[in-house]
Amino acid sequence: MISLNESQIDRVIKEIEKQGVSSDALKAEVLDHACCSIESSMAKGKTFEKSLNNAIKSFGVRGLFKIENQIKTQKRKKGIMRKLRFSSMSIAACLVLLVLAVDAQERPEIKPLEEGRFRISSRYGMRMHPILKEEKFHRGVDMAVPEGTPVKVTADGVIKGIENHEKGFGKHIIVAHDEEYQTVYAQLSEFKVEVGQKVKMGDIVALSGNSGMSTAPHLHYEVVRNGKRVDPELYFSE
Amino acid sequence: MIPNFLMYICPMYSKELLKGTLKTIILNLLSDNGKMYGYEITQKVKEISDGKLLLTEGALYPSLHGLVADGLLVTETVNIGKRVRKYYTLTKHGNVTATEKVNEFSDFVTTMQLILSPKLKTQI
Repeated sequence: MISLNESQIDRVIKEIEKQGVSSDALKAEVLDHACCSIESSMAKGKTFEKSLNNAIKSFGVRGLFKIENQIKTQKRKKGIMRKLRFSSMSIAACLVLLVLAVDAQERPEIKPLEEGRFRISSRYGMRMHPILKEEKFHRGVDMAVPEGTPVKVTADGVIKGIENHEKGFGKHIIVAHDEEYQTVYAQLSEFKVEVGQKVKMGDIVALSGNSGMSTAPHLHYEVVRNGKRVDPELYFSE
Repeated sequence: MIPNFLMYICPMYSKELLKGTLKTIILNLLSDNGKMYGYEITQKVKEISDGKLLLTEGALYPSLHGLVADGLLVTETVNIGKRVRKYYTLTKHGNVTATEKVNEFSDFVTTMQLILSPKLKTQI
């Protein structure tokens, strides 16, 4: 096992510096690489000079300079991509709002609770689940409100389901509005409607509660569009 | 001029064929061998591929630094006298990505085999 001595290493450093590398970290990394390559070549019987020459050549003409530039450009590109991603998200959000403004279907238009009586305690999106203690996607919006607060249906429709899941939504109502939209009201205490009943926007369908998997009194509200949960707060027009 | 990232290609394979496999190669090597340094990676690839695949420095280092910037690898340096050896290891995220990339690629290879020799398909 051949190991380069200090003066030989100094020679390698000089050659690398000639290549126009400015970052110390990259210089150190490339130095080790070149030394390994030289040692392996010398072990096969080549002279130090010949091995050094080959090692530097293997980086290509001004290769080290190019490597450094490429690393720098990569980093710059990543920064730009991050910015682009952010702005394209805002454009997408604008488009969604635009589509919503143009679209005149039976879509949810109001908040299910009276303005000023609730506080949004958990939004739509990734969050730490308060009971399961793991990152989960929250598919609706939680509105903290005292038990027994009237819950309004947010668009005209038909009561499609009234259910009670103790380990999940607790007492909850599913309302079908049109082919496109459904809304879900969960963690309720009392139902005020029956399955199949027609409802008008603003009708009281239930009283809020703390049933099911819940840590405090709140209404869990979901908007389902074409079978997919969307952010209910996009539909809070008031 | 050929861009640097395409220069790890040995005449054995065309650059079109190998473009896009470099990250998979690096991630998989690190997943199999734990921590490795740059030179070691080039030698390992040469050894495993029987010299058919040669990673050049011009392709390897930009790729390694890119993977670090992406949070897939972390580095650790060890001083050896006058020299500093920089080791790369997979992060948790890197481990997951390595598995994904390898699975994706083997799936791709299977699909390619089906496409290139449809007879196999009819036999199954």
